[in-house]
Amino acid sequence: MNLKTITYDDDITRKFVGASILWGIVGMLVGVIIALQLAFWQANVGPYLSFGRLRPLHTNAVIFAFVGNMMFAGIYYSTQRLTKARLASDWLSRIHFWGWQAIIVAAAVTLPLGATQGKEYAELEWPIDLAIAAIWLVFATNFFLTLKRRNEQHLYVALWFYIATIVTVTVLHVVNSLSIPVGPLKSYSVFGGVQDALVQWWYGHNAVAFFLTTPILGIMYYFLPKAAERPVFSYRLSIIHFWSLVFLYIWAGPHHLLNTALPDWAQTLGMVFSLMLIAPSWGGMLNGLLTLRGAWDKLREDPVLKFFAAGVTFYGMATFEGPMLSIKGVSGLAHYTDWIVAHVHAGALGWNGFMAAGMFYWLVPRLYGTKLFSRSAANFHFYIGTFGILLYVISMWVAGVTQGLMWRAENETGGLLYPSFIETLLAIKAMYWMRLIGGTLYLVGFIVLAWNLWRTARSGQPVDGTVEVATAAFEDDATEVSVLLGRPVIVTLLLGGAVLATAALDRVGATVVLVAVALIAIIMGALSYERANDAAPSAPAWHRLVEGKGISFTTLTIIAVLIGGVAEIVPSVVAGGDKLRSTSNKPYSGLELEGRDVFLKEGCYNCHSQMIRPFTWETARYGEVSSEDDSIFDHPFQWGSKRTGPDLARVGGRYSNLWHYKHMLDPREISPGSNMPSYAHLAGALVDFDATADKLRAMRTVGVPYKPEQIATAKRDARQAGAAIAAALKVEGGVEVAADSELVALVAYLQRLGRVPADAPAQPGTPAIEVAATHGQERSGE
Amino acid sequence: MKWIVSDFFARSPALLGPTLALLLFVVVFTATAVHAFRTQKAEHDRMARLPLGEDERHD
Repeated sequence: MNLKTITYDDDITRKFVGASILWGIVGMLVGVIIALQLAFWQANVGPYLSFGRLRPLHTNAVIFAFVGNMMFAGIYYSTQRLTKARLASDWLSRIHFWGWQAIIVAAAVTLPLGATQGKEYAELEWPIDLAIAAIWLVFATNFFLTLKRRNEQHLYVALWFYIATIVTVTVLHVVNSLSIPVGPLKSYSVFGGVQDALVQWWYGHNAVAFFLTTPILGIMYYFLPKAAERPVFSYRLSIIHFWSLVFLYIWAGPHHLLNTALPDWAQTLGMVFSLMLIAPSWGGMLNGLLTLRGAWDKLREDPVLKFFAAGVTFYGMATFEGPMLSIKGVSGLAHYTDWIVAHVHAGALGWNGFMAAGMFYWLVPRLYGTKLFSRSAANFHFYIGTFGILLYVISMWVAGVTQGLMWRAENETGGLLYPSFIETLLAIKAMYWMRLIGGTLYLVGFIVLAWNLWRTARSGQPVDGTVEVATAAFEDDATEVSVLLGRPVIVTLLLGGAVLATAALDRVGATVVLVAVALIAIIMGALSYERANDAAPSAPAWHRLVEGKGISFTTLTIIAVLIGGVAEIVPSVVAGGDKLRSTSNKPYSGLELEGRDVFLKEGCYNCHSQMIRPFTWETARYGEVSSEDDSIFDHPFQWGSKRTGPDLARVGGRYSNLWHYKHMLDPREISPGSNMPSYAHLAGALVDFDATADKLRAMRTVGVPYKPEQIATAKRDARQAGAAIAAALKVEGGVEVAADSELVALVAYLQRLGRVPADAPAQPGTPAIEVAATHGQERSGE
Repeated sequence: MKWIVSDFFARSPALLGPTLALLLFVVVFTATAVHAFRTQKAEHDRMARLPLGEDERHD
């Protein structure tokens, strides 16, 4: 056994901590601004700072900039200690850091400019997506090379969660970002309609799972024991916690699409797996809280433990509420309302924000070889932050339930009690102000953290941890291959494969019987092979070997994650081709497609859904239930996730062009009380029809059946259609507007929603309003 | 039994994949749980103490 001295790279941790705090303030400040905009529409200042463009900036900033940098800080710090090895490459660490900050800056510039893919939490355009993939690869390389050169054989449970984070985020990001570029900052998703919905929420939900949860769980498993100065409550539980969580989480995405046009089987699947998630989530939560056993008295004095205890508690609350919201009936009430906003922020502010604060308060004094500057300021941060969260969450709960109940309320004749959507908005206005106060208090607390840690850093000097490490050979001599091809894996795969093969050959009923038989066989087999080596009873169990093998562990994690993704998404993608061939829908005209791009650019999907659910109160308000066919050519889909304004799935033909024009110029002139920003700037902004043909060509590449002659005449057709709408506006209201105005294109798009052009080809220049309606029906006014 | 099966898969034959995956999960979960609780507590204690077992200096 040799001893060697290892000096950890703590400078990279300091950098990521600083970046996280800085971007945290920016992201939360933008959050406060958009909260103000919802309560006070006048706060929408100009096109670049309107709600639709700032909301993606807020979500991206707090998720990828604040939590992302925090996560990297925690992972780099703890991984070095748990592997007893310095990070593999200082260069890779620096490329990772500066590359990630460059990506954040690119996001902060492009999102207000309206460069967006129109997919929530995945708005960034293709060049930035490529940069994210490259920098993530740098991070992964640095991490896995560090594991390779480790001086501690066992991979502690925190590292498992980091591994799951790295591999799963890679898969999610690559698949969901697949798109066809049509310009430097414009692309169309290769997925459309229901497929895109499934892929997007598989990504979106698992961004929560594997970006906001698993890395923070890893951080919890490292930093909570450190702060409490006692080992994790149950290492056994952590093993079960890990495998259950990574296997189950990946399936839960469809719970964001309950009661929509998503196939029923996929909805049920999402609901069932979401409910099952309570078990591992609470297992982890209890493991965290019970780590504090015997140390509860420290909570009174130690702000670090206060934040950790509250953070884990909020995790427990959010992971109870999430599965409850995933029940179809509950979702019917809560979806599209502010209840979901409350749920998200209980997790984001309580779990992510407080775990970050706890980690920073523990870490920064150690990174600078000093003590925390002000414990009382940290305690103040805790209390004002907690109060802020409560104000925020309670106000959004009240707002959400109010909205949900008002949307469905019936009068004595069976009609809508609140037929005007504006009524339901005005009813919750006070809650929007309360949310603003809650969010502001939380931000104030975070600024206090920044000040406190700044003073802490200034009172000390940057120091790097050094440790003497014994570099003995690892205990077991099993190879990665022998572990990966261990008998438990082989037996499970063989039996599973046999069952799968039977499914392809036999009737479904017979298959299920076989599955039941095989299940028993698999369990018995797995149990009997639990020991790695029957000949040597004292040899470590197979899983124990896996815990010491990075490649094997990573491979098994990838398999566990991919099973869910493949089984859930592949059937939908395979069936997509048949649906495209059999649809009665027709692609958007060039002008409508341009209008759709304006819709995306302005972030309209942040407030308006395009999905009428199968409820009487929805059909009474918005029209016929949405079908898969309605959005089959939508790349990306625009079903939305929140209704600050009414659903637009069948708004086409409901109002005149002039109504839309005036509504965009001054929403309150048409709908008094509306909090929608003014889009007057669109009247003067011009569409580049030279690019229209390229857009149609790109859409054709992803499966939209544009004919070559449509593409060839796209520019002329779009201009003529625009001129017809402009002329109609002049006749209707004396409005002077250019044929290639973005507002004209947007009107064309809105007039198309929910309607399919008549079989006879429309004459060039036919106003969208004259297109035959096939779905619309009379609805009550809004 | 036959009715239950046909009703279950009437929603989509694609449910077969998730069903098999769920069975696989049950297997892995059971095996992992059995492994975790068969292993001696003392063996886990060393792992659990890994974050605490540092003798770190700050230079």
